Order: sequence, then C-alpha cells, then structure tokens
Amino acid sequence: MKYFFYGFCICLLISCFTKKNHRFYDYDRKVLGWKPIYGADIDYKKITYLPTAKPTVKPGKIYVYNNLIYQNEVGSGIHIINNSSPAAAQKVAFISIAGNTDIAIKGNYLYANNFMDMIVVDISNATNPNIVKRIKNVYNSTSLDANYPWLTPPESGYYECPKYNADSVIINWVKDSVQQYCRKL
Amino acid sequence: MKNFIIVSIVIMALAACSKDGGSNADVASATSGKGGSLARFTIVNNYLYVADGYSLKTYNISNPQNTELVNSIVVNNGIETIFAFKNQLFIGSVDGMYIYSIATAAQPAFVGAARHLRSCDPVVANDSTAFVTLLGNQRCGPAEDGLYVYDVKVPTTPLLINKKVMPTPAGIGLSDSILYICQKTNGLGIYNVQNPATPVFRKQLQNYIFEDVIPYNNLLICYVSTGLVLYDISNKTNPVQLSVINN
Repeated sequence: MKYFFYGFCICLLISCFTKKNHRFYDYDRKVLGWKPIYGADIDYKKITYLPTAKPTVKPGKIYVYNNLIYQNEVGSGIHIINNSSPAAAQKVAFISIAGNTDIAIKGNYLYANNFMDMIVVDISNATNPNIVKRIKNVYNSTSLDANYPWLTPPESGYYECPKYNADSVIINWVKDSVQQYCRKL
Repeated sequence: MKNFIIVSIVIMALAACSKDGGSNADVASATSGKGGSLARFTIVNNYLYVADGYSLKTYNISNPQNTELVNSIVVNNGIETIFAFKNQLFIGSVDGMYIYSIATAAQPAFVGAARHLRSCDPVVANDSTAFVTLLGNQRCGPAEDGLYVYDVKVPTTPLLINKKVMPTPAGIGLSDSILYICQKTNGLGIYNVQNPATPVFRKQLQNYIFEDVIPYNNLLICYVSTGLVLYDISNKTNPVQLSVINN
C-alpha cells in the first residue's frame, strides 16, 4: 500500500512536469524577434530647438496655427514651416521632442506627447521653447501601435514584452532572439 | 418687471466683472490652431481632448502651466482620430464613429455611435452631417473603401444616408459645402456636399500621393508623400497651387 502511494505520487509529479513542459514549450522556445532598447528618462525629456530646416524622413500629422504650419516627424519632433507668404512657404526650424506624434496649440502654448508623457511647451519665445508642465505616464502600454510606435516593434512578430518603470522608456527596437510571449499581429 | 430687468442687468454686470477679473483672461481668449483629420489632439476652449488608443482623455488647460488630466473614459479599442464641432466630439475608431457631448466640457458624455466593418476612419462633421472615410486594408480591417455619410441631426442615432465607393480614401477636410478627400495614390477628390445625401464630384487632383488635408481660410494645406503642398482655394472647387515644401 505504501509503495502504491509513492508510485502514485511519482506519477502525479511526472504528469505535473509533462503538463508544464507541454504548456510552456512553445512560448519558451526562443525565436528571432524584436527586443526593446531602453533610454534614460533624463535624455528623452530634453527638447531642443534647431533654427534651420531639417529633412523630413518619417512625415507625420499636420497642424496649422496663424502663419506657421507644423508637421510631425514621427517619433522625434516637429518641423516648423513659415507660411506668412503662402506662395513661398518653407521649412524654417525643427523642435526635437522624443517620441512625439501629436500636437495642438493654443495661444503661446504647445501641447505634445513625449513618449508616454504629456508636455506643455511655452512657445512665446519661438527660438527657445520651454517645457512648463509634464504629466507623466498618461499614454501607456495600452495605447494604439499606430500612434505610439515605440511601444511595440516596427514589424509584426514576436517581441520581448516591455518592462515599464518610472525612469526609463523604450527608445528603439533591435532584432534578437526572444521568447514567444508578446506578439504584434 | 422693471425691477427684474434692473436685477438682471446687475447680475450680468457682476458676472462679466468676475470673468474679466480672472487671472487667465489672456489665455482664455487665445485662439487655438487646427489639425488634420488624422489628429488625436483637439482643443475646444479651455480643454484639450485626446483620443488615446482606447480612451478619451480630457485635460483642463485653462492655466497651461498647471494643465491637469481631469477625465479619462473608455470609448472602445482602436480609437484613432478626433474631430470637434461645437458641442460635440466625433471620434473615429477602427469599428465605428462615436459621438460625445462636451456640453459639460470637463466630462464628455457618450451620445451615439455608428458601427461599421473594421477599417481606418477619419471623421469631419458639421451641424447635420458627419463624413467618414473608410480605408480597408491589412492593418485596418476588411471594410469597403469609400466615403460614408451620416445624418447626425439626431446624434444619438447617426443614420447612414450615403455610401460612395472610392479607392483608398484617407484624410478629409470640409470647407463649407466642399469636401476634400485625400486618396493616396489616387489623388485628391473634391466633392460638393451641399446636399450631403448626394455628394457631387467636382474635380480630382492627381499630381501627388495625398495623405491628409487642412482647409484653413483660403488655404488648403495638403500633406503628401513627398512633403507639403499649399493651394489657394478662393475658388473652393478649383485649387490653385501656391507652393511645395519638399521633405
């Protein structure tokens, strides 16, 4: 009876292992996918003003306010186009805002997403934009890929599930061997 | 009656005083800019509304330096665009158009929705009509490409009054009764929507790959694949190219 009990226990343990292995096998097996690269909080918070035109590489959304037209450079900032003479409109400057896709302007203030944060930028001195308010982590992991492209990799496939913490953000993605837990469709 | 009028005048005068005395009178009176139909941010008076993935976020910006997130409500998965007209927000999502009332500005309230097959769908609207373009593709979903026109006179129940099939519609802009529809490689379609149930085709511009558009007074600002193109639309159905800003 005693041996029967031990035997039963061993069977139970084996069934446990095989079940576990079976359940996790596919997920644990590593495949080629995408791995996030994190950047320090302090770097992504900086905004800088470049007083010259910059080539547009990833054109994004457009916005107009009085004589200026703004076009987002997806994920990195805003091109400024002087439109005071529409027949000779031209790019004149660039404000770098890491992780930016959307803006809105009212009066002397520009509202923008800066990775997961919302920032308010005083633009009363056009050549010296100045962040006057930051609301942290309002755009989180549940936001749509299309708007916050750095939260998921640039292509479909498996990727290392991001870790979210207060002092770093995802700034890029690289190809790497990853487990199959997170997947972009 | 005379007393009532005097009391009313005194109350109105007091109300006006208290408004003027506000520390942010300059901010309150400042104007805001205008985004394209793909925008996720829109400012109405002292509030900024953000369509963020699945939620609608409301920021109080009456004191910009102390901007506050005052409300966040779940709309649905895959909301992508937001357009404000008077007291209503029109939100485009991958499975429908949602109308929210901002009569209480700090607390948008659901009014109505028009569901459709999965697709990408910017919205523009006026008092009576909402114009939605649906673009079906791998990322967005299987809906048939086209312009969908909804009667929103009763915003609780938007009514589909026209569906005009057209290839690859994307960003849209409305200037009075003229609708500009970016159609990517198929150009820019110009329609008269004076009678919204039967949009009348007027012209197709073909020289660029059109993504989004902002009609801004007499100027039509087009975001095209190679940069920006500005047109004079003093004659709304016959845009005259003014300048090109290359990427």
